Amino acid sequence: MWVGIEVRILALMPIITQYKLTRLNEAALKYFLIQIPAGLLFLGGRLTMLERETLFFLALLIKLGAFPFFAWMPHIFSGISFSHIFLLSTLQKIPPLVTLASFNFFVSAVSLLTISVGAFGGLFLTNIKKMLAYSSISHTGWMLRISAYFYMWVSYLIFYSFLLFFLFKQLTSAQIKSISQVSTLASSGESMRFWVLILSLAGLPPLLGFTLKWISLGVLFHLWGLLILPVVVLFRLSLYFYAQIIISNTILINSPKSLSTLSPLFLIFLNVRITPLFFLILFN
Amino acid sequence: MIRIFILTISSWRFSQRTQYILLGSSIFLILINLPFATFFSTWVFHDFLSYILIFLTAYILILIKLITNVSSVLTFLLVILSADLFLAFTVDNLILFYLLFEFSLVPMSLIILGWGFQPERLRATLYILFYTITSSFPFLAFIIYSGVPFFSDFVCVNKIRELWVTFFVLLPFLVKLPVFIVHLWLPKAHVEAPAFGSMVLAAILLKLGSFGIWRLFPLFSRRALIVAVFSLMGGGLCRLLINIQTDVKSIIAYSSVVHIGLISFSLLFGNALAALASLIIIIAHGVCSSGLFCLITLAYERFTTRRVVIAQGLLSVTPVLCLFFALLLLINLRAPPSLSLLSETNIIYSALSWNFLTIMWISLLILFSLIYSLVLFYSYFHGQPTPLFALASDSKKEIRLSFFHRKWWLLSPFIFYLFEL
Repeated sequence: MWVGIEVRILALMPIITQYKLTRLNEAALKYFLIQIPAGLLFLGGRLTMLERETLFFLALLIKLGAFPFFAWMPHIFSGISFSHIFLLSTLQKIPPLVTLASFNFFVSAVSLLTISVGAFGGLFLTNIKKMLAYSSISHTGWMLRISAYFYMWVSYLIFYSFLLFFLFKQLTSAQIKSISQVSTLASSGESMRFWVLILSLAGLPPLLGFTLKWISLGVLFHLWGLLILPVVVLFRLSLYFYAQIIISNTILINSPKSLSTLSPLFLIFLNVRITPLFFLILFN
Repeated sequence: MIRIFILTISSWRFSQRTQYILLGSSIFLILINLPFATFFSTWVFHDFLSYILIFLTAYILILIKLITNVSSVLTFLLVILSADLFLAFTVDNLILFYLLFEFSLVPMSLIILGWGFQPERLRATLYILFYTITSSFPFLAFIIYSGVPFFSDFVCVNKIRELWVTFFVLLPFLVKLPVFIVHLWLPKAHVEAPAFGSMVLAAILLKLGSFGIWRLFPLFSRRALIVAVFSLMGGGLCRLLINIQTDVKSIIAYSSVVHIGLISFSLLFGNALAALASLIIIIAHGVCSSGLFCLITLAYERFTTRRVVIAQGLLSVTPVLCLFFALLLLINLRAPPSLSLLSETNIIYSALSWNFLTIMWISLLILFSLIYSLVLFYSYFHGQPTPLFALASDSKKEIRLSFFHRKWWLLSPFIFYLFEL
């Protein structure tokens, strides 16, 4: 198990460092320096059999970037490119989450704290990669909470990967680094596509991102009942930082012309986003 | 209903491509609806209110075609919006209703963002998004938690015992209506939205809230009456608030908050007379307030301002606009042959028969509505004409629009007759 978890890091290293850029190398080094001690902690817990579960748990939390050890994620995310962010926030989370699924203690508290950190950490940032890091932290929290339910968790991860893939494709093609640059999209139909994608990531109900919320809410209410309501409403406030991205997108659209010359294709795009939901309803 | 919808759509004159897609969407609607109606009849749940609201949607779409030069993207937004509302008013599945309810937010915020004028429209969009989404999340939680997937099952479901759960289920609709205290997004959205945006918002989108309450009413405990009385009080307080507004659009928005207070009171009152009155007031408010917004925009095109203090003396230039504005204000004021009178007398009657102390709020409501209407009319149409506006007389567009908004008013005896049956 330990070897499996470590091999994924070794596999990521050449991918990150292939461009020979200082910033990338720095980020890769940081990532390495954080992941390897965590792996050693994991191995040590395994070998010594001394308070094994606690050590395991802490090591995996470090690897995931969950609540007490989330601070490395924004730093590393701001250094690497979008494709690496995609790998880090989806594929690299699978092994720790699978391992964590066998633990029960503290998972609720840790996931709640992780979600809240992700929701409130990204509020006043301008770097879009850091914002995405906090968004990723919050999604990690949700996945952590539902990791005990295998099908729920896997479908969550698949939908989330789809969403991130399209968003990052958009961002990479437009060369965007901070939210002030998002307004450069405003002249084309891409802005609308971007708008819908961000809203979807925020979990606006009819879009694909809402399925994530739906799945996790189903599990949460199964576990805790209606007591969770006020907390969940608070978490919806994380919509604010997504909304900031959207607004900086549209702030330069002064004339209605720029919207009215859009190709109607974005609506087809939007429909594609919605379709899985109706399938879900049918299969329920 | 489908026929009405298609008639509406086909009455628009579009470019070739747009027509194809419109046709496609309406066929899609039929295809979706027909099999459900015949084979899976549990998917569709019609009642009189949904007929009315679909008809209202179609009617408002025609009026929008009259008022603006509809571009292809706008057409798409409106068609998506109307298809969404059409489904939302007919669907039986609770979670589908929730999705369609929320989806109406996307075209609406796009309309405000893309076709609004001031930079404050960003703030207004944020307000809409946050108020609606934050409030509707507990409702989703309730749907998942309760496991009551269909509206038509509500007959056999026990009422919700706890008041706070009732409140959580009510909350998204109270925000969407909106009643006093959670109404803050409405004046902002109306002020920032373009003319057709506020027409759609006032006439149809707000009705989603009342429609939801109407459908979910069997679930609420008797103590939801607290909310009803509170919304009536809020209506009275809003009447006071109107008098400190300076923007005409926000005046109209606040007056529609007052009407909405009456709507939610009558919906939650749980008495046959009040329920009937709520049906009528939904139509009356939908047509009347959208007409007022429309005429305000026509006046705005002349003045290029909406401040009550600056815009003056329109009567000498456009007598026809003035006539229709006065008539609409009278209808808003529940003048005799209008639907508002019918509904509001019924509401007042049922409120007074329940508790005479409500006379306090009702009298406040009536008195101040008279005052603000008079102030609005005098300041807008009488007085010294300002040199600000273009000195063109009534255009054909204005006359046509005003007439169509008032035409509904002629139907009132028929609808009254329908209810008497």
